[in-house]
Amino acid sequence: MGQMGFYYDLETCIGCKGCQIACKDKNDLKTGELFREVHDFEGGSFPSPYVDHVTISCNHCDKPKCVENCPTGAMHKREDGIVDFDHSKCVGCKMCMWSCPYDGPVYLKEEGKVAKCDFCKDLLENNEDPACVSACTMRAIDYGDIEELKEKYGTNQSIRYFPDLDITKPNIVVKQKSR
Amino acid sequence: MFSQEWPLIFFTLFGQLAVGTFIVLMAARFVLKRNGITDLRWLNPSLLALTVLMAVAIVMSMFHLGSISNAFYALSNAGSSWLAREILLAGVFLALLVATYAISYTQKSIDVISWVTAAAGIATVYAMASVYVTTIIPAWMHVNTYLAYFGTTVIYGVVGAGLCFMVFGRKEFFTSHYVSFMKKAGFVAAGAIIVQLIVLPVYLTSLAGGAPAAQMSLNLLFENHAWTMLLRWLLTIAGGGLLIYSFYRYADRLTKHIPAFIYVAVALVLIGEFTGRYLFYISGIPMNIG
Repeated sequence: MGQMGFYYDLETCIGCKGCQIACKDKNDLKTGELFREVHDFEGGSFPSPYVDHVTISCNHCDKPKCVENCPTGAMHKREDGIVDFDHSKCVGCKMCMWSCPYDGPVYLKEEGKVAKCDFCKDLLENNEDPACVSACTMRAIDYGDIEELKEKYGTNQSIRYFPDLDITKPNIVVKQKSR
Repeated sequence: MFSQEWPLIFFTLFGQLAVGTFIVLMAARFVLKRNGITDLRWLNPSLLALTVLMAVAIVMSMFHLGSISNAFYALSNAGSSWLAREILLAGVFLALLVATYAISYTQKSIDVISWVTAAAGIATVYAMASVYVTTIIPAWMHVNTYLAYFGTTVIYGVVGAGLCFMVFGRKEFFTSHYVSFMKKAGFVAAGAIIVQLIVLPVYLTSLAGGAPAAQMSLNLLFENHAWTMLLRWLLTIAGGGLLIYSFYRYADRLTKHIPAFIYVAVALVLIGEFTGRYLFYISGIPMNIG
């Protein structure tokens, strides 16, 4: 398999945070720890106010700075493109957190280590969907080989709220909310 | 957010003090030797003190880690990670300091190893700065980080060497050759301050025109810490200026007695650089969604 990625339909997303909760539950995360987070942005003014919801987790980037900068090699990229982490090697230096512009890696205070979205690799092995994808009532999240996602949904990867994509080259396809 | 990174503040400052002081002491040794002064009583105690200082710096850095038990893995990715390189080089520098001290203690020549140790020290400081330059934090991704880290190394190096002379070699301190060396070293430190001050507006301008995180760093510096930023430079310049002035104005008196204001000037420089490093960490706001 080439490179796994996510598709986000931000036009359909209603900001229910179901994906965020399913992810938190699947990974048994504590208060304040999120591998997937829905960001809400409000703007505009009467008569045209707006609210945008942006769901984001690790983007399993082509140029993952977290992998490059991790001193232990705990962060690594698998053959299927998933950026995974070896919990047993993590030293808890937080270098990956200083290397990701999407808040992918999260520091687990109780363990003194960092963890992140692993694409629900255990579910994928059983031919099941990642928890966030299953939980989305609006079917606004899809996943798969990034080239197939681009064929299916187009090639747009950027929205106004994202940092410069060239920094890490995230593997996402995004449908931006039109206004 | 990063004001909580006290272990890193102390690791970088102690590490740069050790590297800078070693290099300035070796330069002093070279200059004094050329002037026929070979009885350097301050040398061995200074090397021992620097070894202890560097060891303390490395121990301090470990308090930053969440899982110290995994620390031995931290060198695994030296092929691409500047943090792994930094840890490796800091360890090599410490080992070379021990070796330099051991060789000097046995009264053999440290001519060769002092060069190797100095090179390892410079590489350590370069790696320290590169760790921050290669993050996604705009306030750190700038040549200013290299200048700040090497600047502190030079400034602390000169002050540290002066302290070593005062503490470990008082009887021989402030003969004409020492005063002459410290005058020159003082001007090198002044140069390190001036270079940083020249680049400072360039750095702040780049933050103003940068990504939202860069602008947040700039706002944080000016809205919450403008006085701290001013104080940081005033302390370093006042302390450094007082030290250089005293080498000219009170050179004769200094040979008999070191007045209290010298210690005050040293403290001002140390606190000034500490404040600068504190500002460096708190201004580190990462790029993010939004």
